[in-house]
Amino acid sequence: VDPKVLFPEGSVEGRALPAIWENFDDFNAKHEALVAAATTMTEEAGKGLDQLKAAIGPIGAACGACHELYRKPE
Amino acid sequence: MRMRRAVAVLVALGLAGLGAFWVLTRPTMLSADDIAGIGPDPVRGEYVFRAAGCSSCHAADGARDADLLRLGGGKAFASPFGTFYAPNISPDPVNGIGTWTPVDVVNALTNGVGPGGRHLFPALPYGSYGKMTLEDAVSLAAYLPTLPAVDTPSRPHDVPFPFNIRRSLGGWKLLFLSRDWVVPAVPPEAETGRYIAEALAHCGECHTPRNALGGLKTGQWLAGAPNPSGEGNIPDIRPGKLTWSEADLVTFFQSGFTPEFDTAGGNMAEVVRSLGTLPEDDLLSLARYLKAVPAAP
Repeated sequence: VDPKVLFPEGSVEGRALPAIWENFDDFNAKHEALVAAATTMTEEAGKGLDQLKAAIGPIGAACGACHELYRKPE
Repeated sequence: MRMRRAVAVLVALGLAGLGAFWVLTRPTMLSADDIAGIGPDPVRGEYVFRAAGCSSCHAADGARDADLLRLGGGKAFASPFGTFYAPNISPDPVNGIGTWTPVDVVNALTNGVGPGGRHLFPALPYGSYGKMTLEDAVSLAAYLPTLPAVDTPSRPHDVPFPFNIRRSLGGWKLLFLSRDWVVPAVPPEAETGRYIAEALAHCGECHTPRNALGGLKTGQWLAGAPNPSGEGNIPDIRPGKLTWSEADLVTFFQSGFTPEFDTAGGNMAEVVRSLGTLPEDDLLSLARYLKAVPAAP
């Protein structure tokens, strides 16, 4: 999914910060890191519960990377 | 004649008022003798450093891993009273606090007073840190000099008149500072958590609303507040609003994961980065404290 579609420039509703469009390359890179972490998890999930558990941490880190910089508090 | 007397009385009252202001707003300070008998515990010093989240404000914006120990300052903190810039508190002797004695550090942390007796702005959360034990303050003062020196000069705060009158902070302290626990009665298993929340991690500084003078409304402890930097709100985390289990809370402190499959954002992500490194038992006690604070109506 193209993050430009999910986060159209100038969105004012929701919790997206304008920094998203000021640093769109970084935002996009973080999005790709999330896709990579999720892809890895789908591979690890078939190997067993412990492997799945280990693969969830990087997903959280990838989620948090954007939420820390690009999302308003509630 | 009557007029002159009235003027004289007014002048006398004015002088008395100034005198009272001068006395009442004097900085409270400890001397080196007051901490002479306290031996610093370096392990504890690192614990206090992490629990108090020093890096969250004093490391550079976006710092990670080893850079979290480089406390060159520079982060900006907007407020209704002006913009504060985190100072360099690395051991650099010129631009940091390398020349400060241990009691200087203890006074800054627990009394909000810098070397020479100047009131510090409460952007440094000494309202909370004032509740830490002297042993912890001394241990932290001994830990800070072990960190790398950074030579970035501190940026002066951008705080306009009248808030830049340091002496008036003495009055602010009289009005708003207390060493008493906000939540006086908690179960024994929440006492460590109370110490972490109210003294070290200074949760209330963001999660509790403030009055017009910037004092915490302790009657609405942890009830949430507007984000001082202007975007959105810091959430209400009282029982009734925060419905996560104790285990959910511990997981959140450690990983930033919420039970709703969300993650901590903004400044809370910084908090998790340091708070989450504390022993699990202490984080569990912190969770229990959050269950013990007065609930949302």
